[in-house]
Amino acid sequence: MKKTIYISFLFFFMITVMPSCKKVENQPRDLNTLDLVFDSQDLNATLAQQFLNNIYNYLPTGFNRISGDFLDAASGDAISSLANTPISYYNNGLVSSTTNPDGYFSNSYNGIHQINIFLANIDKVPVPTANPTRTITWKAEARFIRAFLYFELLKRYGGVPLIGDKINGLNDNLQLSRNTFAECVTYITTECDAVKGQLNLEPISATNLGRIPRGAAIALKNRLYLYAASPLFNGGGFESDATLKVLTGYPNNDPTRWQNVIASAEELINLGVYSLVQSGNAGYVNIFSQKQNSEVILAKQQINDFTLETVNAPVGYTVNNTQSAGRTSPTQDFVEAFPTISGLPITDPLSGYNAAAPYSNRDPRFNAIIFYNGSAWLNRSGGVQTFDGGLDRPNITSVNQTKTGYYLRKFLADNSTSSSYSAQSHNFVYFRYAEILLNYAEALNEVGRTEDAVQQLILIRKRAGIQAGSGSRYGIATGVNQAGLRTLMQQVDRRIELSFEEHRFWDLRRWKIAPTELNKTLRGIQITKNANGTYTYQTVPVTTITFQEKLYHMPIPYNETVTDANLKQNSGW
Amino acid sequence: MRNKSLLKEIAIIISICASSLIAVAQKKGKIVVKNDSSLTKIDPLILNKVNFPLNIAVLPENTTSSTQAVYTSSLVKQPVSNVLNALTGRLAGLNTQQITGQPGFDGVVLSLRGRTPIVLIDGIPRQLTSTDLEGIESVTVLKDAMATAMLGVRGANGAVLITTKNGVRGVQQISLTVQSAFQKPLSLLKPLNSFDYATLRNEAVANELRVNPNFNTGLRFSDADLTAYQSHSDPVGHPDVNWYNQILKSSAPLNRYSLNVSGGNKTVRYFTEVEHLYQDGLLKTSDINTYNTNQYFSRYLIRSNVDIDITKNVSAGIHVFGSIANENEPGVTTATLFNSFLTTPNNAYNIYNANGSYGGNTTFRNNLQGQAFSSGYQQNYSRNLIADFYVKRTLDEVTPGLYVKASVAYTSSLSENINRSKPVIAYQQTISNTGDVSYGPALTPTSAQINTNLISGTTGLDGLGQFRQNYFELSTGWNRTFNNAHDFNVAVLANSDSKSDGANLPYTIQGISARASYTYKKKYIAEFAEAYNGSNYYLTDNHFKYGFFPVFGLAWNIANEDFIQRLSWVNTLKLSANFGRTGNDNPGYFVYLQRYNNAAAPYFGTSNGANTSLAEGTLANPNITYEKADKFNISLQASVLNNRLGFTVDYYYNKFSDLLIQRGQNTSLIGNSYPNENIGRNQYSGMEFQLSWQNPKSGDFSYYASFNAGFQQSKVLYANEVAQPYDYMQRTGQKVGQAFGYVAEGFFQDQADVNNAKQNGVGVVTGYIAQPGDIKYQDQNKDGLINQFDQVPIGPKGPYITYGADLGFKYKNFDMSFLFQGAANYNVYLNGNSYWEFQNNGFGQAYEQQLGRFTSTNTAGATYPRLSIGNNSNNQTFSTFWYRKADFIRLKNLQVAYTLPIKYAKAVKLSSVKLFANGVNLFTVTSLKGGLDPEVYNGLYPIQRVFNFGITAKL
Repeated sequence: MKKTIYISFLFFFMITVMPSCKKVENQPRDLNTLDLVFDSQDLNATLAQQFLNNIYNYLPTGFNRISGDFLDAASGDAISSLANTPISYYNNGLVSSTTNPDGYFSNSYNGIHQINIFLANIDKVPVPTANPTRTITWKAEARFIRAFLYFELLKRYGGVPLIGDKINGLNDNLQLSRNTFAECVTYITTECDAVKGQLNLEPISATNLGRIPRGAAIALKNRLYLYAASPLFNGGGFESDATLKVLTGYPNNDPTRWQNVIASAEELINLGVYSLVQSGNAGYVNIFSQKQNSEVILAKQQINDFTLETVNAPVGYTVNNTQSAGRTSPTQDFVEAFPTISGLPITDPLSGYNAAAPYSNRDPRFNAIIFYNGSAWLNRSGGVQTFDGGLDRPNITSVNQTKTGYYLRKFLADNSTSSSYSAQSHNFVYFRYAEILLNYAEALNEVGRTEDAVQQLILIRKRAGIQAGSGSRYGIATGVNQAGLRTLMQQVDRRIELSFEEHRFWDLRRWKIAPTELNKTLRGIQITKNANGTYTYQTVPVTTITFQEKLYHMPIPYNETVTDANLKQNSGW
Repeated sequence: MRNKSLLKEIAIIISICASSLIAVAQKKGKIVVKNDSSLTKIDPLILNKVNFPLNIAVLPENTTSSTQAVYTSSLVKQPVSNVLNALTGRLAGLNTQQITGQPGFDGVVLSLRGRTPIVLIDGIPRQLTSTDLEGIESVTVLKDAMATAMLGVRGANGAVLITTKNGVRGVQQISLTVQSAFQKPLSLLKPLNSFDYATLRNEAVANELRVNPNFNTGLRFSDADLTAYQSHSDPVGHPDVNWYNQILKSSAPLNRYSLNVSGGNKTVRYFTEVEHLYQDGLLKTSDINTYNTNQYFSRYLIRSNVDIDITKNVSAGIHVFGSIANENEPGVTTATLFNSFLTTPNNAYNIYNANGSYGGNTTFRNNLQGQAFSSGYQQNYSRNLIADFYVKRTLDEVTPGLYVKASVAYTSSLSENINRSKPVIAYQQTISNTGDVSYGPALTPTSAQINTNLISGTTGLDGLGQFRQNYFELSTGWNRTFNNAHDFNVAVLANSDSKSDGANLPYTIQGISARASYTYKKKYIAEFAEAYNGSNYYLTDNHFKYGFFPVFGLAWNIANEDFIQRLSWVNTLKLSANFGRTGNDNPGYFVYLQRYNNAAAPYFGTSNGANTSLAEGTLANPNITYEKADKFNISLQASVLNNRLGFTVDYYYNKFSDLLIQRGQNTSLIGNSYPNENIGRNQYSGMEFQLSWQNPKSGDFSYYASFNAGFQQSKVLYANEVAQPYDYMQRTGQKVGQAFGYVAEGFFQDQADVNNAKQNGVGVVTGYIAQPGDIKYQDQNKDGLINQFDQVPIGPKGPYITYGADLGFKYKNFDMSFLFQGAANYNVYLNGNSYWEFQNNGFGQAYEQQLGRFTSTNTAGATYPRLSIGNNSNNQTFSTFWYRKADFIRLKNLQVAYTLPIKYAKAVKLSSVKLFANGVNLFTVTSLKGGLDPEVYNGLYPIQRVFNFGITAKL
């Protein structure tokens, strides 16, 4: 009996005490769940809007984004001031499917995934009667960004798997095949057309700056049509394998594709809300340092700071205890592309070019884009010193300096006469009106309307501050033919106007001139300061770059082709 | 086949041990062999009881588990602050790795049979291993399934069980130990002097120019520079500072004081202790500060274990442990300082300018001397408390041998980081043409000293931050022998272990465990143990996911068989085997919930405001569960020849399943990160050996020798691997953590060699332009390209071997012991700015190994590729060239002790006085070249060689 009591007592104790009966929080309530993010009770849609905000994070970044270098430092217009940085891989053959400095694959698909979650859930959130189009606009923004992310993939890799509106999970079959180039073009342009009427109407309010405007959808469509009509994608693929060729471009050539470019450019121009920022050199600088202006259609909104100055200004300037890194060295080849103020190339005897004073009397944009010997900066007497032994090219063992005699000035705020840097706007521009005009001009020229094209170029040259010259041709020869204007745009107008905005790297490819433009010895300038204070300029070779055919399209990351066996690798990789 | 290679390895190990022993013997002079009446006991052979987790202790004759333990007398031979560091080399199969020697952070990382074991203190899982050594009675390593069966869902990785001392009934004993040591760095990197540095960098620039004309000639040193570096004629413009010598002392003290009192009477037994440890760091200090900027670690602790018999049937205990530890370092932190050594060449700048300010220049803004002296200080301050209580009631009146016990254990830790750092201001001194000396603007902005005190998550000295643990246990057991033949041992317990870390919800593991064994005539043992337990971070109705983990064992105590008992030379002989399932709970933090986290804040509007954003986090895994291990262990244990020779052999085969890994077929197309899923399967197998010999007590002389070795093999059985184009790329079937890389084939000897690369089946990384002196790699698939398809398993092929040898002798009052420890089939990856030259875009340090570089005149004898600036995409790729064999054997510990003859001790009213001297890490033989230490070879705070002297007085 006694035993039984003890034993039952024991078991009672164990059963009651051990699984402690306290009420506890058994699952964290401090985590946001889907119900909370897309709250069917919240008229303000606070968290849903935060979810949309994040989608903007997937928009591409720019400037010194490739391990500290500009993408354009692989386009022949510049090189990195440092040796053996990843950007050089595009020019020395070190790119591979495991090593691609500008791999972009997962960023786009991550963005698309978040966008699809947003699109699938946002309708749960109530719409305020005061703002009945809120959800419609938000969805259009998300869809535009999705189209943009696909475009970023398309220009790098060619056709990629289109996910549609599907939200993939752990149990979904992801052995997806690539869609063809044509399918991707259709998808992106259809999306652009579908959302353009729903996006934010210009003018965009100061508080909404950076939210996708209507013009962006048209500009994206315009750029895509331009790429699609260009030689590389318009039936000019180099692949011998037809199944690959259809993935990376149209299999056939169809010159009428240029009409899409013309139509979409005119669509944007006819909106009448965008225009070139005027007033010469200052205007050109202001495009990039004024947050809101008439020219920029869409830009990556970034915090005001002076990081860009610190990274790119000449190495002789130390501001706030930080030595400027002078990371980018524009080449002599690029410098020589600038016409003189007359708009004529420096090789033209009538241009007014003086080899003894090579930097004077040039296209005013030269001053805004390039730091050359004598550029005014931070109030230093005599300006930038890139002569041998100068403050910005000291040739000492502890400083990585310019390799070409130039530094990159574009995008920096005008600090010519300030004593120090101040936080300035540095938004990275995706689309601006000048690009649309250049796209328009290119298409006009290609369909034979060369003179119409010239008129577009003149708008830009005029804004740049080039003198009108005889017949108000702004340096463009009277009676220039299609081929001549094409070369002029490729080597001068588009190259200079859109320099370092991540165009030329892709332009050289779509024009199929990369094999000549990226297979050469790039040059720099060596400047000797003479005893009498004058300078002697000598052009010197700096580095030899190479291009391989396979670099027309980027390699699909190796990890992706092994995890998805249906994902065909591009030719040559 | 495998056994053959195993045997071969054993033979090698034994020969290495033997030869080292002889070497030591020769060094120490002739060993006099005489008979001795007293014997230094070999701790592993003291077979009293086996400690299991959760305070279950059983007699070895009643279990099928094979465990091994070390005891106080061995542990106290090294003046280490962390008890785990005293285990190195002493337990077969337990591998320790020391990552850094930084005082306060120098605890070793354990691995047992390929996994990281759980640490238990007095039976309960907890991590406070920074503790005294005198208060530790034993450390037991629990390797097989039976030993950890009652831990259930956390038993899979094995356990290390630390048992503290309890008082014993008897006269009060007071013991005071005072020891004082000095520590010297075991090995430091060997940077080049300024002249060599400048010469080599010029050479590297010349190499770059060959591929890339007009590379950046500015990086060249002029002949005048070289002359000045060589003559040391211009210390301001051409300094030559060996920063290690400049910043570090050659030795640092370590002091330890420990006082304990133990004893007990009929009803109360106690062991109490106070200890203080002060371990100084190697940094020099300056009188300019009123505070200490040296790295140091200081700790006070108390321990009080009291057990009381309240009535005849009721006993209780209160075991309390408390410690206060304080760690100090310079404001920039010691880790930063040691990293600065790697980025600052000897010619970087002069230490002090002529006006006494710190030197520097725009490239090197952070004066190292300034970082050491003038960057303020940071302190880690931690307080730990452990309090265990139990009450036990024997219930013999119900049935003899029955008891019931309740325990509560409480652990609390708080670790603060006090930051009082400030910027170091350096100036560049320049001398103009006219000879005017000027000091450039400050290279770093001045700001006030920081003053913060952070208590955060899992930081701090013990990695605990804020940590609380509540443990409850209720157990009942019954031990009884019937008719001297049938021996029953039964224990059932229920426990709940709840931990809170920072702001997270408590992580609770709870369940019921049981153990039962039956022994027949002390010959045949059948044993069963189980746990039914689980934790609360899962998607189930009550949020607990429980598992059932049974383990079965059988043993045959052959020595107790009559036919063996007749053989008087056999003392013990036992064959035991057990098999069962254990678990490993690793649920993450509620990963079954799909959560939406804050992401980077994008900007909108002209006012440039940041906007909060939310994104879907890593994909949720609603199916997550605990990992499982099916473990088999068989063990043969014997001691023969009057217990003189003892040996144990263990073989194990453990199969882990449901391991949490990210699936191999993880495509970016899904658009998010894959969670860890229960899909991996690994297998670990191996053998462990212990062999010991001791002579019988006779005369003045006695000696002992004991060896242990562990052989560990592993294999990935399943990892959801992608379809590899070549068999040799398969990860599945290889060792767990197998390294894959290129196979280096030496250097290109000349241009002809470069040109013939393809036909010789070698090459450089695709796209790289080779030049003589570059490393050539084997082209595995013969496609003429070197890329991911040429990466094969590299590194050691055989089992990973760790071993130790403990040798000692005693002659009259004098005794001496040696502990050797080593590892074989062990590789390290030499890389980064602690081994490669001119990293950090060409401004990094360079080292003595670069003197053996390839040059046009040093081709065949070159030991290092041609020099380059910054990253070299071919030469600095992971390959057999950098993944070096680092097998080693260390004389880990040597102790010499002299016990004063009792009559002298009595004269000063002491019961015994012992003088001792010991050393740690006295010498190392390693296959790693260049004077690098095989454990800390990467420029982190070095491991110390310690010379320690002390005295123990007992009252």
